[in-house]
Amino acid sequence: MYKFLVLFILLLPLLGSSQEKLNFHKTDSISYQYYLNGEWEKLIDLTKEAFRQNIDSKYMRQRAGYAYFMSGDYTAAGIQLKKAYAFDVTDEFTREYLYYAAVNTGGENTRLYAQNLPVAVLTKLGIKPFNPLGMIDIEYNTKINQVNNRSNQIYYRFGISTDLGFRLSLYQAYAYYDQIISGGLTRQPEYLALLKWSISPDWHVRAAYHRLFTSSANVSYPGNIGYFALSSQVNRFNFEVNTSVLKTSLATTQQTGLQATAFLPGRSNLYFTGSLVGIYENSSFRTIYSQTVGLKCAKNLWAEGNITFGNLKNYSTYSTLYVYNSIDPSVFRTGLSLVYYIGKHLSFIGNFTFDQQEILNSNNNKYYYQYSYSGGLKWRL
Amino acid sequence: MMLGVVLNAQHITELQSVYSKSYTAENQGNYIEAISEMKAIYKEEDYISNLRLGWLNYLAKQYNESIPYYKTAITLKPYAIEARLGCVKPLSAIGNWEKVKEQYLEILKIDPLNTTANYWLGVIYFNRKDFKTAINLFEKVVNLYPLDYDSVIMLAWSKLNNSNYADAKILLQQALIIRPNDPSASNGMQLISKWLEVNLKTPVLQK
Repeated sequence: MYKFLVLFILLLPLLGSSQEKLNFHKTDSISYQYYLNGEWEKLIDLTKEAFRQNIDSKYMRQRAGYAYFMSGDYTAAGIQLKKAYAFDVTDEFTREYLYYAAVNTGGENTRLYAQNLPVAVLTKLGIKPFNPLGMIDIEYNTKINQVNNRSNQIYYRFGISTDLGFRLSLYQAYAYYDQIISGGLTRQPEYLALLKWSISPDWHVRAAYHRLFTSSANVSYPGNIGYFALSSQVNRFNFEVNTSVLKTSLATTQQTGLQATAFLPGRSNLYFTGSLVGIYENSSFRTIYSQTVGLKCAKNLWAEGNITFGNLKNYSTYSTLYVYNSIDPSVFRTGLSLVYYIGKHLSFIGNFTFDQQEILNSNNNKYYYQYSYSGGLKWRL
Repeated sequence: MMLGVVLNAQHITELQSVYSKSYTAENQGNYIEAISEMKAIYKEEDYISNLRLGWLNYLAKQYNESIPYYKTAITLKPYAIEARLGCVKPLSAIGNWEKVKEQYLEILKIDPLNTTANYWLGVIYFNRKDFKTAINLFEKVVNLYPLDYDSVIMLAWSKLNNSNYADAKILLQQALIIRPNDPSASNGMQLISKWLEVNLKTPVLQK
């Protein structure tokens, strides 16, 4: 036993140095060969070890980025290509693949990277600095419940996005919601204007104005929302701070949120988003916590699940795209969304959401359940 | 007092011996040995040993090790151009053209007419198709060294790409005088001839 222990101690340094000491010339040469042969896993492993050993170059970053891209890990591809870009901002290969990586991760910096594409590529892809119809989306939603004095809800939305340049875009939407509550019709046409500005590839600003033309039993209760958000992208993390104010004739609601997203390595492009929101309304403060997990399930299919805890009265989300100002606030929500990409330009979105609603002014059944079904199309032009 | 002088003299002799061994190893191509000689006497606050380790690591193709030594040397003597010119070598080897550009711009702040910086910065801008900036830089070198073939030919091609055919033609002729039958200059002359041919044949429309 003692002999084995001595042998183990003697062999320990060999075990420790199982990672070979690399040098620049060898790594550069082998990584190029792996690149030419399309041996992406070997190339990723080699460059990972090289960067750990402080062996680095623009070409190795480009090869690593391309290997991740071909393996389907677009977040990692973007990280490596960003490093290659810092080495040489004029390199056309880096610029092009940075754009493709951003397209595949749905990054907010996609248009900003498009600005750097060579003219021939811009023409080939049909990308213009100004595009009055950059994207069109439609959504239809119905919410079903089993409460006698609450009808099912209907919501639909039509939106267009205008590219005002490579850094600036304007999304405008018209939405409509109605429900019969205790015999009276509640209607809510809405208008949203959302301005998105990319300060740099890593810093983004969003500002929105949302008008609610709410009426209940022919009495008007209009509302206005102002929204501002600042977000930053640091390697595999996204951080966001946002704030909004909703003013109606009944109350003023101040909302402030912090959000963090982590993108995990791997071709499933798994990500987790945690969002903590504080709401101040009628001299009282409450918090809402939301957790989202998303992944790429198949080649063209993404899935996203979410769960939200807290009283969602007058809560707004997705840059105020959705405002939950229904008379019965939701106190728990969970849902699943599926996004299917039909070709390069068109995507279909389906969603199911379960809500536990708190019924207003009821002594018997305080809560009821609501089942929401949505379908939508997004067309990028 | 005397003891101090003796100790200092001994130290200098030791340093000379180490440097001598390091130079010998370098001349024999034993860069790793030359590096280990230098590392034995390395002091972070010593400009010369930082510069030398930067250079030896560059020769040993240990580019990412070389750069920090050069950076330390630059911090120690910010107006020393040689350290910045040295740093450019490993930076170019790893393709970090942004940092290369930064170093050349810093050199030109210290010495606006530095020939090496003006020429190579001109090459960087030429490769980035920024011919106007390249022309400004190459012109400085050509004004100082009108018979330097490399600068003359680069200025000629920059002018040609910037559609300044008259100047380009004069410069290409100058390049052909410096290097008769030079293929690059001859190609440039052929391009200008074709351009003139096409433009002279195009009728001018009268109102």
